[in-house]
Amino acid sequence: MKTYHSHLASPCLLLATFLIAGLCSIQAQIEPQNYDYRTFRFPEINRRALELFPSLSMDGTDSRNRRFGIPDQNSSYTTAGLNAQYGYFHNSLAEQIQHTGSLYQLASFSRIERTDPPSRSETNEYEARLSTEGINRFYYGKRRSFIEINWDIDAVFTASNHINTSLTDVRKERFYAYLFSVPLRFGWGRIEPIDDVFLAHFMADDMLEAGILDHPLPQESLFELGRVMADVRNQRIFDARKKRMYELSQLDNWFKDFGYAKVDNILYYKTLADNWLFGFNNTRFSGSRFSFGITPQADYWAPHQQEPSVINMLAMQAIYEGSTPLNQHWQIGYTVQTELAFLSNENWLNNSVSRPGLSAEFKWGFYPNSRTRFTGYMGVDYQLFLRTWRKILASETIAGLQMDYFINYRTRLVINLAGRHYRTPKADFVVGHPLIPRADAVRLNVSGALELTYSFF
Amino acid sequence: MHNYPLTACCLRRVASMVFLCFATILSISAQSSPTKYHFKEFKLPEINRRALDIKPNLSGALIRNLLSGKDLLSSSSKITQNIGLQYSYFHNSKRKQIFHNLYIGQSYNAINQLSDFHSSFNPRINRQFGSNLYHSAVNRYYFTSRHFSEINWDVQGSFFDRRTLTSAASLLTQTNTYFYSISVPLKTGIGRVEPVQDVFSAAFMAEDMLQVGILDSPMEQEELFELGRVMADARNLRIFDARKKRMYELSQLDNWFKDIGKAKVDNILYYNTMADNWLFAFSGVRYSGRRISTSVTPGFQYFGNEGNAPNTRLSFSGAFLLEQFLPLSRTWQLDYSINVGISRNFVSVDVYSEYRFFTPFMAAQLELGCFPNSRTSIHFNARVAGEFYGAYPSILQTFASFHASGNIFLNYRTRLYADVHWDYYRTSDNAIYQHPRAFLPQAGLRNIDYGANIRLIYSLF
Repeated sequence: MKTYHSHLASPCLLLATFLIAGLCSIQAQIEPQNYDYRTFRFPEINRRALELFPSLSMDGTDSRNRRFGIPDQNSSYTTAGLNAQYGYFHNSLAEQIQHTGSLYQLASFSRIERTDPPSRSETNEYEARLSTEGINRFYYGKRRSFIEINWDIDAVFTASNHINTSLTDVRKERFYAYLFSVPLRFGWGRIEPIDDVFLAHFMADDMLEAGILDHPLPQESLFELGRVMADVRNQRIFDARKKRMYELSQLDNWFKDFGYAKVDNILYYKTLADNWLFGFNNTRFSGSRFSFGITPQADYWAPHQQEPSVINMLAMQAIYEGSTPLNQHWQIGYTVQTELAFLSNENWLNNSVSRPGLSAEFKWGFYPNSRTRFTGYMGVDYQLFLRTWRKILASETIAGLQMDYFINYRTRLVINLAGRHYRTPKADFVVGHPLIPRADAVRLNVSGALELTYSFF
Repeated sequence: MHNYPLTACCLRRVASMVFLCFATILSISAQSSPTKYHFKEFKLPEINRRALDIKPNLSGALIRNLLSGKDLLSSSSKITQNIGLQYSYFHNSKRKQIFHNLYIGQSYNAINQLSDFHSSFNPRINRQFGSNLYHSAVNRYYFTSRHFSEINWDVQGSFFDRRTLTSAASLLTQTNTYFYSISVPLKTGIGRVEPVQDVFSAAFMAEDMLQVGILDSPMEQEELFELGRVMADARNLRIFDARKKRMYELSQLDNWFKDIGKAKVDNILYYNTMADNWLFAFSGVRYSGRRISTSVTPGFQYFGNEGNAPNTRLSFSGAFLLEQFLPLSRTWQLDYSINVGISRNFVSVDVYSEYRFFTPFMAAQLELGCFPNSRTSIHFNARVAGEFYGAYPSILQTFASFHASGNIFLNYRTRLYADVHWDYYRTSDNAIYQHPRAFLPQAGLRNIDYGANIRLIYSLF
């Protein structure tokens, strides 16, 4: 127990220090708030898209080397694919629904013929991948309670036939993998995407600076502009150029109806188009949500000519997540999750492993203007694997920082830092069970990148 | 006798290609509508543009896996650093056409891999230092309105040092490679070629404005050409920030439309049409004009790696070059070029072997472009080339290729991307050069590469 406490203490202390320092720093810099962003409500949106991508490709080579004992070679490679992508997004008072789906299929045929000695080999391959994810959150009652029925399905199938005519050999290989998960949750609270209200704010700031607006937009007008932006962004128009023209026209209509902007001049249009088309599109949310539920999951993995691996899991989870826009420039977000999972392997029936776990993550973002952003995150994850006399606590700490810093018109700086530390304590076994991680292991991954662009003239 | 069927086959293919080219040109000529604008008369304004950027990068990663607390299982770390300096200069005036490009780069990579997963694995530390330089310049001076002289140069250099060390930092292997190349083409000739893509951007923009009623009548030729020159001017002004640059460009175009007074400006439809065409339309490179030149080019190349004798090649070549760029209409563009010459080469393969030989060469290229609107572009390209290495015994190297590609807007729901290529390469039979030597091709090869790709994007809803 002492070992587990010491493992827990250091990342927890780090996380607490990081949180307090982050909050103090943010509080110190908060300007008097003009707008209460938490009252912004995303408009009702209903958007569907289905696209097909058929393709056909053929490449061939006919090469002859007439001298040096190297055989002549004639080869061809043909592929045919049919991919599809589906997306659905619905947001209303009663529902928050997001569906994504993709289908990838590729059939390929390759052939190689050689002389001296004559040989011919053919490989025919087929690969299919299906992936779909659905979040269906239905709200009811006055306390903003909801029920969630989600799914996450991934399936992969590959088949290949290798034929070598000189050896009269035919080899067939097949591979299957499926992941099926259906989380069911209950809870209360609501998180709204509110990126557009900040884009509206940066646009209004630029218009104020350029003299297109005489005074800042009142809160209701700013929120209305944000809703217009969200509305037009989610309108399905097939051609990207037509879509941009439609979006700019809708924003222009709003400014004309608003009546306080000096519209119909190039400065107005440039500011509008520049912010809409080229400002950073940051992901910002507002609100909090608590949910609890169960997740049944099945994971099947069958490589060619090997015993299939099956892992079944049943997990009970409680999740609290929230996101707060402190002001125009600062954003914080947090997630706390606790879980009790039961895992079993088909080959280890009656040998299931239980896994209580606790994880927390804190995120922050700083957006001083529409050209600069700083974002960071830090999280901890503890999972205790229990099986009869064996138990082991796996702990993981992650942290990262991204910076896209517009210093001036000649200089830009991009920094990315990420770190991950994973640890399991000493135990009286090294490998105790396929579903239990290895004991007394430490993994440390640290990566960083720095890129500067400077223009002399 | 042995080669006869192959030669006949090649001749048939070349004849087919020539026939295809003629048929295409005739077909285009037949389809070219009477051109309203004489795009060939468009002249680019005086442009003087310089840019110098520096981009340093630094990245690193560390991965450590430990077992039983202290015993090392595996560890790897990587650090990459590079710095690039890029300079460009473009000048276009009645008297001069100048293009300079310079790139100086340096990089350093260090990868440490330590592991005792497998007893057979030896820990390794790899280090690589590299630097390279590339500089090309075209300096074309007109001493009359049509006659010119050129002093050009092309300089390349690279150096790499690769080392492998043990975990105790003892040197296991080290390889140093050097490559230097310099050539100085000196040309004189007649004619002028101008980049004219801006006038076509102007034509597409004017057409869209006419269609939505911002313009009541088509622009006069001089107005369209003036808009093209305003576009070229705005595009070539150096502004550091891309967002500021776009805002400046749109202001310049707006000023011009206001000055001509024919367009219904100051409404969202006008701004949308202008910005859409300026920011998101295809802007392929198109030229207009003809240039005939003769050149003399001294050149030197050096390739060496530590421990081996260097290979060098000194050459002097003389060539005749004809380049023709024909914007047949707003939709069609036809370009072709012919290059014929001979070079005298002095090749040193190692300290004992030197080859001196003549290399006559020729290359011809035909390119056809189709731009029916600002969302579609289709290109066809045919090329034949040959080089005869007169060393004993001689080698004839021939190339032929046909490439076609299209990015086709069918309707707002459907787009089609397609390309086809066919490449032929052949070197004549020769018993001596069993293996490729530095600067000489391998004999007795025949290679054909061909392929086609087609991709469709269709939005159901």
